Amino acid sequence: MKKEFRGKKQRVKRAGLPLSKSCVIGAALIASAGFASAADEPKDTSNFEGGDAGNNWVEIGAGGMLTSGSNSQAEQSRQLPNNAFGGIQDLHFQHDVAKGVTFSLDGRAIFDNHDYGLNLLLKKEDAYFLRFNYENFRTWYNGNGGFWPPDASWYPFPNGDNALALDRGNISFEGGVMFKNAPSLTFKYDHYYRDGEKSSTIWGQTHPGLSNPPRGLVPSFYDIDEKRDAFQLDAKHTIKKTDFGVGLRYETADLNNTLKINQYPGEPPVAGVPQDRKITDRQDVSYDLFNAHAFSETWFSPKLLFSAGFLTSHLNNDVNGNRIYGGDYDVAYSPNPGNGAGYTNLISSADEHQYVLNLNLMSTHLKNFTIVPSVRVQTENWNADSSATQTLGNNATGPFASNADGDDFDIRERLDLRYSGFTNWVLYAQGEWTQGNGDLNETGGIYLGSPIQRDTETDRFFQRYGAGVKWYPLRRVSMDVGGYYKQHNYDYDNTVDNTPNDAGSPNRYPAYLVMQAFQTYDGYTRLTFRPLQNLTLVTRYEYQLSTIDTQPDSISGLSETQSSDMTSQIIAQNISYAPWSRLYFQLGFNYVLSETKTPTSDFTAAVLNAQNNYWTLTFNSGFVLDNKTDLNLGYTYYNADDYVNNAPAGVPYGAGAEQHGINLTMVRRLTPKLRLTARYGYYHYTDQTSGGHNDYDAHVLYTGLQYRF
Amino acid sequence: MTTFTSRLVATLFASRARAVTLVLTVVGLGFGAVSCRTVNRVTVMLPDVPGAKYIGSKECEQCHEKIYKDFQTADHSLLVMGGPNALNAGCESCHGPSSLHSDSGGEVKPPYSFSAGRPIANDSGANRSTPVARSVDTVCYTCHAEVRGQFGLPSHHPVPEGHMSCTACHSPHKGFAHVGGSTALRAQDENCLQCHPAQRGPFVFEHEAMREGCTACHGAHGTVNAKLLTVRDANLCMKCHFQQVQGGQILIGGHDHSAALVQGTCWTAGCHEAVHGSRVNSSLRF
Repeated sequence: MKKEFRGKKQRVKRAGLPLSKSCVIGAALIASAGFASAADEPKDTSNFEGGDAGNNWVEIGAGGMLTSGSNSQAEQSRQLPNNAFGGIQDLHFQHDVAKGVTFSLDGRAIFDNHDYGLNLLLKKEDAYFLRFNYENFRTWYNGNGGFWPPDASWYPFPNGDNALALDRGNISFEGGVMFKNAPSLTFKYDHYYRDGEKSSTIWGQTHPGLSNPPRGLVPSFYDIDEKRDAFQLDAKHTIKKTDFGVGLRYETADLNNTLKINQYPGEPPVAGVPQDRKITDRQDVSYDLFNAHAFSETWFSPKLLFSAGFLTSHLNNDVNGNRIYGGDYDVAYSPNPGNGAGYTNLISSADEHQYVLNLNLMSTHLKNFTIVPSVRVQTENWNADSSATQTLGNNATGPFASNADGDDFDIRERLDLRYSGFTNWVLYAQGEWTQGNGDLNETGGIYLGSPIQRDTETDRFFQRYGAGVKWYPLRRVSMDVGGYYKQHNYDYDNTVDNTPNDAGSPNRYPAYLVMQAFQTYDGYTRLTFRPLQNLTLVTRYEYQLSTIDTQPDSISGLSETQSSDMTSQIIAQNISYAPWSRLYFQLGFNYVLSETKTPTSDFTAAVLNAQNNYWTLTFNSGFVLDNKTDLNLGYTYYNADDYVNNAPAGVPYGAGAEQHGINLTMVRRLTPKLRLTARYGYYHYTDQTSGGHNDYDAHVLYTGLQYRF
Repeated sequence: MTTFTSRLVATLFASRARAVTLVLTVVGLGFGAVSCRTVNRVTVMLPDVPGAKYIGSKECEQCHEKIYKDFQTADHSLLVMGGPNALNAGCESCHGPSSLHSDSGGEVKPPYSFSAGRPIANDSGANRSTPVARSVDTVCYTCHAEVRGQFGLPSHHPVPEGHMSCTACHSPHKGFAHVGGSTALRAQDENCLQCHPAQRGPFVFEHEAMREGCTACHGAHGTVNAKLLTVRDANLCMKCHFQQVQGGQILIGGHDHSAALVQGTCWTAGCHEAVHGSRVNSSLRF
């Protein structure tokens, strides 16, 4: 069998599809009863990666998106700009520059899509490598706020329906030597950045229709300016059966991010006090992170692996910031009776040390039985302090200072078991336990009635048990059944607390809780079935129930309660069908029922139980029309019907949206080296949550020309 | 002309059976015409790849000894088992039947080798919304079918756009306990902090929910709500912070929040904005 096809010539010969056979296949399709067995079809390695003539290519392309309706929502959904774009869609070049030395280049540069990439690699196997990499891509956010149904008030982001845009990128240099029988060394420098604006769900207040009670509906956004540099040096060496490694990493960053909030926009002053206020909440964070780690992996025998790792890291950050109210963003502090709670001249710093030790063993000494015990020990300690001047209204109410220090110690044990001794079966189980404790001491703070003084001792106990089975009853059938139970318990002992938890205390967090317990029950099953050689069905079902129990301090007079239960059911179906060697279909369907229930909805209509139900459909098909042409048809569908209009009791947030997307692609081989791609996509989106303001229709066009060489 | 067309359509589609017959005939003739040509090329989609046979993971060990050994520590090693019915499972579950790859001594790559550029490894830029059969994520979705739906939701990590891949967070070849020289076990959330360092802290006043991990509030793949939030309204906080109702008051931290809940989420401006931690206020106001 393995020697069936050896030579390229032979492969090509077999690749041809005889006319008579093709006709038979066509006839079979007409009858809708016969299925060509794809496994018996000819083999053409041009469809295999690396098997085609021409390992290099460049594709230039251009396209654009035309929208009607909400441009910003279209840009967010499609992650494309609402205009034309084009450039180098894909570029790959590789060349042997010397014996055993390969140079490769990959890149893209799509202008107005802000999608750029360049990767250069010079590599000699078992000797050295040098790599340069550059990546940049843009994310679009619609930025819009909420919709208030009673009077149809809509709060769009005030920039002419253009989406907010945030660029994320990375530039890196990497080099290494890896000679045989010598230590390998690698060095890497990374520069990461984020620059732009993104939306926030921290919406500002307004009086809808100027007369309704206040609601949080006004859009806010982040102004992002982040830069990080990381230097990493790693060494690795193999001595007999053991791999040793050590590494150093230093990272330094400046994160200059600002949250910008508008409250009561357009509302007139009340008794001379301005209501329309813009808040600039700026926190400029710089940090240095140093990390050193070492590891070893030893195969004592083919049946026994021992690995160990240790790391220590030290993080230091410094923060400057303020929260200033004004008639515009980025203004200097100015006392005003319309100002809410804020602060100026924030100076904060923090230190954190962390140590981690991992020990892992894997044994397969018992036939068909794998056992993997692991243990992880982690300890960390930190301290942080801050000072600023708090402000409110016309007054700068004076300086404040706060401080916190704490430490944590956790030890986690894990045991994985796997048994494959029964023919066509695998049984597996795992258990994980974590015991932890820590101390937290906090003082100070603003807008709390009075500064706090709290010391809290925490005990943690986590446990997780999972088990499952995988069974192949037939070559064409496999089944998975599994599940797990997880419980996380937190016990808090508030040894010092100057905010007594009785009814007279204005603020009691975080010392208010004395216990929280998180539990999750999860079970799933998956059936993979191939009723025909060319038809695969994968069906998966998962059920999950989670609860959280909470117990306040007994002095509050409140008892333990179940603060939530969350259920979700996920049904997923995949169908892959290749009725013909030149045609395939892929269909994916997901239906999800998910609900988060808290007792809140029993007492107020302002907060309903949260529904997160949805279903999605993905269809993709490919068809080889002839020796030169491929066709592709895709369709996507999304539907969430979770919107409940609970205004005016509260703000309706539930997701209510529907989206259809269809696209057609044609790839035509004009010559053996030249390929033309044409693509059209149409998208239709309706959004109930925004009162239809985020609805859009979008047409996406693209054409590209690829040259292979 | 219009009348004639209307009559023609009415005649042809006078009954559903006739209409179905007509459509099938047209489609069938179309397929027949297309199929009655000599075409050398074929489509490629798992699990069947024309001309290639499954050979079993053990064969892969001959040349890929290191990966094969490491794979024993991976979650995916559950795929490998004794018995003839499971021959397809293992390396070839993702890389496809590899007989030609093996026979050629590696000259012919496996059908799914995920090498640069070919087939298009993502749906980036103008290519998006067309699932590529052999992209990394599409292959993962074959078994992890529910994840495909999650990445199709309005808020998702940019996997469909090609700016991330599943392997950015999940190692397919090596176990979680062994990745990175065994020190990746440091924290699951380290995956998130690689790209979201502003949430790293430490803060003066921490939010203890951070100890439960980012997934206490965010979905890792995608959600129907903005910012990957698992819940968009106050229930996100209430699920941990609801205590009880006394005298018609909804007590959170012993303080009546009845009027505040009417205004929107707990993290509405000025209330509890600093959801990841605060440097000035223990109630995480800002």
